[in-house]
Amino acid sequence: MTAWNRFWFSTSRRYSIGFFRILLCTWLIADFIDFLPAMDLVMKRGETFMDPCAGLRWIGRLVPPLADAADFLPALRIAACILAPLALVGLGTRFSLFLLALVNFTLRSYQNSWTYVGHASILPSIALFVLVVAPGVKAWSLDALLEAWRARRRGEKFVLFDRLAGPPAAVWPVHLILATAAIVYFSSGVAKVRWSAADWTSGRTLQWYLQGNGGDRRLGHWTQFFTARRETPPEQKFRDPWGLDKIVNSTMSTPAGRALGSSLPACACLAWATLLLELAFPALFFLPRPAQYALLAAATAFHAGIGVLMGIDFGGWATLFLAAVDWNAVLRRAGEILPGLHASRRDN
Amino acid sequence: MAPRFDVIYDGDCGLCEASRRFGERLDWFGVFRWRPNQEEAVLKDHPHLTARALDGALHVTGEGRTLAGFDAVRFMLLRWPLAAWLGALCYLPGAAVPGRAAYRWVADHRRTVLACRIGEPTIVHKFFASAFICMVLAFALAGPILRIEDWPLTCAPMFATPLEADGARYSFRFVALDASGKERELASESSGVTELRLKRLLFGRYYGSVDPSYEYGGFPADTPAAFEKRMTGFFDEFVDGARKGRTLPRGIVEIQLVVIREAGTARERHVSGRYNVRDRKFRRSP
Repeated sequence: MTAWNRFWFSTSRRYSIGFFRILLCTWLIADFIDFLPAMDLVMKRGETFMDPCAGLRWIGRLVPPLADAADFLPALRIAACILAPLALVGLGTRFSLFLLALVNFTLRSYQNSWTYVGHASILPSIALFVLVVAPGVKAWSLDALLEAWRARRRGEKFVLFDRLAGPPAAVWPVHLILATAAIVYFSSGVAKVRWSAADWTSGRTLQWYLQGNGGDRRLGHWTQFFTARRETPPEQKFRDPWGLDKIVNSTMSTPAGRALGSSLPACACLAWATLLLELAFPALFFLPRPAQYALLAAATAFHAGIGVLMGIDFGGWATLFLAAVDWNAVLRRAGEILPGLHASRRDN
Repeated sequence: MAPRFDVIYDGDCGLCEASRRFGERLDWFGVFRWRPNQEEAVLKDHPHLTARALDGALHVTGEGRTLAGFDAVRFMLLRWPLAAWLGALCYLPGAAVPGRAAYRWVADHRRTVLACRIGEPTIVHKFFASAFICMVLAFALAGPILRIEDWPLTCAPMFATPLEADGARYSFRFVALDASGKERELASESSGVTELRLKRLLFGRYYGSVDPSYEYGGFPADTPAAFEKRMTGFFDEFVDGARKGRTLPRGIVEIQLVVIREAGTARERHVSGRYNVRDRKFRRSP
């Protein structure tokens, strides 16, 4: 119990969940630029092959009409456009974050309701719900600024920086966001060891993906591939002669990815690095601060690499790592340069 | 309106401080003025109170009245518009006995069991936050442990796919035949769903895997007849969607489901079955 309390409920100035709110909402708005217009396709798609994802089924249990009627989507899209900037600047911070988390969840649920899982949107969507209930989320918000203004009118004296940064808050929101990321990374590493250990560590699997649609005979412009289990008994192979058994993840290999995919040793190095990173990520919580930053930088580089080589955007996950940065210290440094925003005390 | 009552609380206690913030929001008419008992002027303004009494319980004093503990709390609740109903409940006969006992327990244990020092999470915060933390962690673990990959659950296989020795790739194609027997490739988008999604859906919900335990397309005890029935359902939807979107060329009498295998430079194809557009039936290739 003591360890639980120390891990989740110690208070610190080290994290600024309020500043992280700004960063996550900025990423969300940037993502909305592509995502919201793409909802046109979902709205036009109709009910053919509609297969509600888990998220939409949950929403349906709470608000049945929302799960059934795609007529809500245009309104939800407008709501997302209004709520995201409100949450970013922090006006009615908690309430706008709450509504934004719900609207974002509903829209993403619709988008993922045709048997496709947009992994990149999962963790940021969960992180929004964490922000809703996170202590200190109103730091660096217009709400905090308005409260400071009211306090000054009442005659209170304070340093604006301290007032905007807020008091030290419990660390659990940041630890929770990173812990969910750690679970996903670790399970992903375990899956690689479990399902394709030798193929993965030899670099063959990665090479296969990187060259996925770069062969001479393309099977489609951006197609979905499958694997087969050739050793399946003949009586079970009544669908096709090869015994298709699995859906494989889809990539949109870039020229850089295809170039790298031509070298098996290079693929093996990257495959090992990926495996080590994924399996080592939970160690984040037990490392000293410089090593933590190094691990998070490596994970960010990992996602940048996926973007550059495979054309898959996991920018939202990389944004989550920014929660671990000591933004108050960064801003305090900035405050030493910018007049009128100096802090009263050093980091503690 | 000037405050009519002073509420004197322990300014070092997180629970009391949270109560103050909560109380100030509910006090629409400004009836109460909250003052920490550490404030020197408090004892001067209220000489009938002692430091020891103030340390033991929250006090409400003014207009010749002084109330402490549970009595003070229900007195305030009754004067806050949104909480008046709760205040009224606290005045029901018999409510005071458990109310006072509960208040006394919290007040006596606020610095030990509850350990609510100012600036640190209160026991209430810890309780609800712990429940929330467990819920989110359970949610994140549910995908990989239960092997569910369905947004927003992820089983995160993330490219963990065993490959065949020759690195073969497989895909599906839809080939339409008109009355003259002329073939033309039918784009997946004809159905109104993009290629990637349609082919995942085709495999996961209709075609099926040879692995009956696979989360996408595992059909335990699958048979050729059940396969044909499922595929008929798929093409019924496919054709309806294509007709609605006016992307199904006229004169099409049959749609073939073709499985393509590509390994190196070799390429093979197998017609898995045919869907007759007129009688709306899918028949597996022998």
